Amino acid sequence: MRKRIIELIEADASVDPRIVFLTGDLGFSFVEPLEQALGERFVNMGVAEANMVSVAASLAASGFRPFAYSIAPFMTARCLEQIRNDICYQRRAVRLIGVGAGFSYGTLGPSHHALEDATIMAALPDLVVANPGNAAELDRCYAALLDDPRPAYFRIARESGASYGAPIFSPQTAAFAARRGGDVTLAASGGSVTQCLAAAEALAGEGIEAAVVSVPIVQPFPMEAFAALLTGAPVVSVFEGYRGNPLSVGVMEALLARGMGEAFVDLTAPQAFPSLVGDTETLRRRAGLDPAAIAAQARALIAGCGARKIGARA
Amino acid sequence: MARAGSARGRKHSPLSQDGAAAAARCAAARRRVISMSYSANSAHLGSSLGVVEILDAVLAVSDLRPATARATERDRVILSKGHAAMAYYAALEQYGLVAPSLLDAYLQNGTPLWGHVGLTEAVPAIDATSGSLGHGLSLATGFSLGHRLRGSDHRVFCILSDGECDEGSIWEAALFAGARKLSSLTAIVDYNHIQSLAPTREVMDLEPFGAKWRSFGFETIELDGHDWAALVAALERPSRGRPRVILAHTVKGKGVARIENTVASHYKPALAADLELA
Repeated sequence: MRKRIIELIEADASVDPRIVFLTGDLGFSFVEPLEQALGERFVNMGVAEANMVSVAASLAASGFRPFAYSIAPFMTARCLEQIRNDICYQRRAVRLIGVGAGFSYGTLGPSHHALEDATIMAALPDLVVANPGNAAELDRCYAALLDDPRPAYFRIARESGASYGAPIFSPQTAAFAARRGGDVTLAASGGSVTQCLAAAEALAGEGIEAAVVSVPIVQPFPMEAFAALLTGAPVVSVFEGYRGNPLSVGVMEALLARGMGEAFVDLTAPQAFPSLVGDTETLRRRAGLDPAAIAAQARALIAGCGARKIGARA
Repeated sequence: MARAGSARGRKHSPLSQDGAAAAARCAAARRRVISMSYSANSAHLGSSLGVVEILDAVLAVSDLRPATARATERDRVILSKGHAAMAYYAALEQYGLVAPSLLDAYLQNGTPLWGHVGLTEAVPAIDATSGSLGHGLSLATGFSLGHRLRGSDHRVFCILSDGECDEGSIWEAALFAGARKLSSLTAIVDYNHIQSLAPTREVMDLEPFGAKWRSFGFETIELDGHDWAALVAALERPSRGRPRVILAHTVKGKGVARIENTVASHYKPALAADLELA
């Protein structure tokens, strides 16, 4: 999806002279067309993310529409205070683009993994966090936030993500059923949507109908739109990040608001730096965030619900 | 790529030619700072008193006035050492850029001016939030880059503290501004040689300070930061096509003899007796 977001900006750049693209010296083989399109409004800020973020804030104050681009951990953790004070506190409508969501950069190692970024960004006032699951979601997130006066963080996975479609009318309505099913609801965001669709496919083979609800904008959490998709079936939240991520917090809040009628399990990455090399698929499997693990958790949750109901009757 | 020096060819501000009026403004600002520190029981008295002439000279040279304050297309003034907020507010008051009533009520609950500078609708002349050190030069660099992209010849002034130059982000900004020859940018370091716990030379010696800035591509001027005329002359010197830094040697706590050049002046508020002496 890295390529896709560059294409979106490139398309806008030709019609909007306010667009400025800042890169922290990254984007080889992706950003070159954008450099051609933007000319001097494409600025390589060097390997200096803190400066890049503050510069972007002042460009926004000067009437530009700045994008700042780097690998997700460098775009968020490295320059957190600049995002906090210069973008959020000053309310500057900068678009931060962090590529490499979750385990995207697998074998490059934990320095390049992004498992806490969404949580940290969601903790900041006013910052919208978009975590699209495929190119269609990205297109719609981008369009929905184009004229939004708030700053936004785009958490972009390397993989394209499985295709399915549904409109996002606004950040508030950005939750939709990627697949229908009444036995269990798999709530996911970003790359985990694809994992959940594969899990649902596996469950269908066993006669279990799993719904997959995708939440591409996790902060602010689209509470009403998400709650409207709950059916009373057990809920599995799946996010390629640590516990406390904005998806699972939002799902839990929605369930609590309904009286916690649904059984619930929260699937997240272990809060630890893996010591042994793994590619993206391996890391996902070890974390229990792959289709097989998601399906197993869903099965167990459904079985647990059945047992509780029997116990309640006795 | 480098634009012709943005300061070149600009008319001198009428205010920048009148030293007697400047002395009066600085004296009034200093009294205001002491009064605010006393009434609000506010720290950072020494940091504020030392930067009075620098702030007045910057405002005198800039086109920031009540009529331009809400404009995008104007000079930008950033106080990166946001803990000297009292001096900043007092200087803005001298130029009619903040309502005196806001300063009378400084730090009272429900008022808009914090103890460190923040953007507020109440004072559109404020260009940047500060308080955490090391952000202002990058913010100024962003404004300067914006001026260049728009083809504007407006200038950007950024007032730094010396201790603040311990922050790595200052040097990220300096490297970028120097490499890109952002000639609209002028940084002024309030070089009082004292940081939060001890003298700068003991904590992390900045010297050779001028050589550092020169090596980053800055035109470097060193002067007495209480010499208003020298400050104005340095600020109005025609551009040499690269960013400028003014290392302004100052006395922390200037004007209140009992606290001058002391670390404690960073923390202790003004006393009633200071009001009478000022």
